[in-house]
Amino acid sequence: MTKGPVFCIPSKPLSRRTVLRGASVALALPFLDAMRPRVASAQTAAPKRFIVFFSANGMIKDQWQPSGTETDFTLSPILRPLEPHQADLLIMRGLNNEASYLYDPNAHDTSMATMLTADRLLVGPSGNGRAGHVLDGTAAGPSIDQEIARVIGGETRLPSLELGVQSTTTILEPMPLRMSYRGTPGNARSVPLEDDPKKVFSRLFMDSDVPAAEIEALKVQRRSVLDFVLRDFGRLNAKVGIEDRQKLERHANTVREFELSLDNLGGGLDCEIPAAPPDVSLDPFDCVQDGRPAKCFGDFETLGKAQMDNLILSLACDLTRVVTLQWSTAESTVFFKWLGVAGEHHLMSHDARGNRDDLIKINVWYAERFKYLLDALKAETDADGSLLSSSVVLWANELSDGDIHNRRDLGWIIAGQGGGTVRTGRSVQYDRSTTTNQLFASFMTMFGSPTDSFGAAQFTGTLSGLG
Amino acid sequence: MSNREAAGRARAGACRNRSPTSLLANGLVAASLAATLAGCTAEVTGGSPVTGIAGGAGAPNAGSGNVIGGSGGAAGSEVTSGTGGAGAGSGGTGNVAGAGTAGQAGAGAAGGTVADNGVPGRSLVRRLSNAEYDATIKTLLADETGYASAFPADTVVHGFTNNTDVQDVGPTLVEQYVVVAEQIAAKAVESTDALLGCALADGESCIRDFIGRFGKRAWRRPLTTEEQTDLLTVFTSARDAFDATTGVRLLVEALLVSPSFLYRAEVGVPVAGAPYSALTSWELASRLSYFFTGTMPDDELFAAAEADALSTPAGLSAQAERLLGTAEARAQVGEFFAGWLDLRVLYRLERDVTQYPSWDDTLPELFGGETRAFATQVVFDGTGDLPTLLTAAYTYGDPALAGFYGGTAGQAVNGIARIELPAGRRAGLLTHASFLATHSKEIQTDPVSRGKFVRERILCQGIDPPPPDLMVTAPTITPGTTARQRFTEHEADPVCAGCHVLIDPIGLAFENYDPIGQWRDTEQGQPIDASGNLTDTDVEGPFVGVVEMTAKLGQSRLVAECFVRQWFRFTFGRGESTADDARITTITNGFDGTNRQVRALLVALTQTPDFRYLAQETAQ
Repeated sequence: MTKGPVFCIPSKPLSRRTVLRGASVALALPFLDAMRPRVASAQTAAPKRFIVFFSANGMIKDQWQPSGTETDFTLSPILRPLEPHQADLLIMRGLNNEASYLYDPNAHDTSMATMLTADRLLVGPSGNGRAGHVLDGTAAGPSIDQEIARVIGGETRLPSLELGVQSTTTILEPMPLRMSYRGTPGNARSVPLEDDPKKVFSRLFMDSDVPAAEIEALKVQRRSVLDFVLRDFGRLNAKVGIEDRQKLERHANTVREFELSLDNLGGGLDCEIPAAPPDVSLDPFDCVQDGRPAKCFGDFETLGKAQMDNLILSLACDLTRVVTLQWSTAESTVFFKWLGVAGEHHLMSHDARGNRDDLIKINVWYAERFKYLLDALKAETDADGSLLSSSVVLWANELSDGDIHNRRDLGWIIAGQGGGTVRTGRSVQYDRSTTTNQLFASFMTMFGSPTDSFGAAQFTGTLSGLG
Repeated sequence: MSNREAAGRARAGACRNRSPTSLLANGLVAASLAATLAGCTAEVTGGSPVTGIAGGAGAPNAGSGNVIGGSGGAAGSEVTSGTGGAGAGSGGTGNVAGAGTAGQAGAGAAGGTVADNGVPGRSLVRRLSNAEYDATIKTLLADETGYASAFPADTVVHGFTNNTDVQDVGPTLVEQYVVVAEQIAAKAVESTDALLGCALADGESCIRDFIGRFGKRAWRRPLTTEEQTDLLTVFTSARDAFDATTGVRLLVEALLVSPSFLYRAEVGVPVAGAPYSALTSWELASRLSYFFTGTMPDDELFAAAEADALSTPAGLSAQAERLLGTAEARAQVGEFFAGWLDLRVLYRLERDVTQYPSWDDTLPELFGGETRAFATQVVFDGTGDLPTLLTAAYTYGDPALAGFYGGTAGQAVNGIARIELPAGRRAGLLTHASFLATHSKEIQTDPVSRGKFVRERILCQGIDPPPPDLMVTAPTITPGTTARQRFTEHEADPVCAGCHVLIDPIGLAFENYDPIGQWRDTEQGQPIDASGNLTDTDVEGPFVGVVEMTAKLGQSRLVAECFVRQWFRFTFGRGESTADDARITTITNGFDGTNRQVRALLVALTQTPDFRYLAQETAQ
């Protein structure tokens, strides 16, 4: 990819657009009520964004955690690439994903299904398959990204965007190896990821070539079709059984969201459309090494960069304000051959001492990707600063110690100030009782839906001291 | 005993306990046990196979009445299908499908009135898979574009893409359903009158007619008056706001984005006194067509639905037999085998040609083609039985494979030749290079993956995962040692041995096949020892090499039941639970009664309560 980090040039201040959208959302509120948590107060500040950056198989704690005090600290070898952004980081040490211990038939399924839901894994109708995997299981509740999208998603064309980097190439394919879940407690399902940067790109700009004069016609026609579709859902739901109705209702809700998002269609983008992503094979086995085809995962880096560019683009053009980026999956088997490591990631993570240097290399590599993302977000100006200052960028790993599948004492990072709600430039050690449930409850509060609980009911409270 | 040993012992126990099918392997004990659990008495009376295809005179199960409902066996149950067609009551009460569990009692062919409550298993509304979407658009509009590549890929469970529990519709798919429907509709209205079958200029009467006709095909059932009126409104409002062609286009879009198109929505009609509903002929037409052909019903099925000819077992089996004669059914059966054997990873198979001189990049396609061709030839044109699929001394495929296998190819027809395999070296599906190469690592074989596949997909015996604190890495290749020598650590370490004693003796028997699936006599200069042992099965005992092993597996009741289990998943689009075990046993009894004929099994699946009825909602 040849384009520079800044590829969306605001043609007008984002804030004006935001105000306009604020107005249209306010008008639509009665209709939204059924679908969205109540918004605490009218949002007058610049919009906030929520981004999740996932990498797998745990970190090497002593090489990850910074030394020093809360505000005067030195970054560890793994996080050293982030030094230019140190003032924009909140390093969270010692959070605990307690919900993952409520049901643990397979450590990778449970760690991923619970990572952003903070709610237990549920076994599916097929029970447990190979290695205890819950083949058709799911998380008990929705994930934090989808819940935030329920609050702020109506303000943009896409409520949220779920990106993957070779996220479906694991040899194991149970659903819980994905991190985002939509729905309501007890009725949530995994959100499919899109691994193809070209598909994402064309989705972002699919209607951008429609002349302004035709946009209104398109909106009218789509609404007519979707209104009929929703009436068909209504007729059908009256006739089918409970389980079917739940499934259809999840679908119908997504149709309603899509219909609402038509409000945001057209009107001109606040950015120039850049060139499409490069042609990259999605197949991890299809790459060239030493002049011949090889199974080298060589495109992982290129695909990841293209997806990060899509991520930045979608925010800069204000097409969405909630994006998740899942590098590989839980139990990632990516073979980072280009780093000169000995074997695939997951297997190596089970011998953290023997493969220490290789695992550090992999984690440093991810830190460099994270830096690229932060660089780009900082380079994009927003109404009150940069995209980074208006964002909460969460770098999450489903495990702390990959060898023993530990989901306690996690090492997570927030980058960005979330529009002034996060006080950065800090490295904070949390006590053993601090749960990810508390973090997510605080996020909900920050994004306009105050609550003192999120996920599994037994873990309540918010996280003090974020702001 | 050290802690590690204790853990190993405990784990060994756990591994064996996770083999539910082996516990039920032996007939009568299991039958009476299961019957006791089901709260009814197993009564083996003989008669026609439970759900089988009796063959010979008369339609299967005909005349016997399809006894469903009622607790406590056949007594007091309700006969819902009195008409039987020819061959009245072939000597028994016949098609009492359900929670029987006769085990092997009655030599399989018996079955008869087993303990049975006939209640259908769990059924959930099914979305068209991406492949079904494209096939349906092709049938409906003769549009072969293939739009579903724009959709997120379907999730694979148990090797299949049609598992309804995981096929949720997320934001991207919702949006793409709209975008793709817009493309399809725009293309369809390029010749509006041809689409409509009448002149648009004729006005609303033409549109009304079109809605009734096209709507019925798109939604695979007649539309209600309310639905037709609603659709007409879509047309008229678009016509008034834009133009008539736009009206038709939106009409098509509305039909295609609706759940009535995207799902096989089933409502059924209540069965008096029973906790379930009977599917209508329209709903059954879709079940049949998507099961056998992977697309919407054809004209004959629609006609049968119109005549309500599918509400009897005989009506269903007649259509099932007809559909088995179509080209689409052959492709669909090929899909099943590709899913069962996990061949979808074939396309990404890479091997180093310097290490494997016989390798070239065209092989994966030949491998996949071979397995599909062989399976369909056996099922449709050959002996048709499961044991042959596992043990045939021949295969079908590109003649080039004869050289690869060291066999001899006959005359090719359409690029596919019968290939006689080298005796003692190859027989049946498990010696296909497609399976062997996909269950290998890049530069060495994968005895664990091959052994686990046999346990899990051939025998349906679950294997516990390694303990979380265990380093699980394939041993490094060291010069002068064979895989068998390298894997001895599994036996030496009690923590590993608990499970690997079930896996390795099977997996290492495959060692004559290298990572590209080619025969080898030595590894690292050492002769290969392909001896193995089948434990915890109903075909116990030692053997040498895969050909001997598959000869045993071909005789196994466990394997037959596991094969039925795979088809159950494929047919009903869901994973089975223990609640389905009795039904699967019953179907397997019927399968046994036909000498394990695959086509008969497929027809028999359409005769089950699960196929014909819909469990009613229960408060959960």
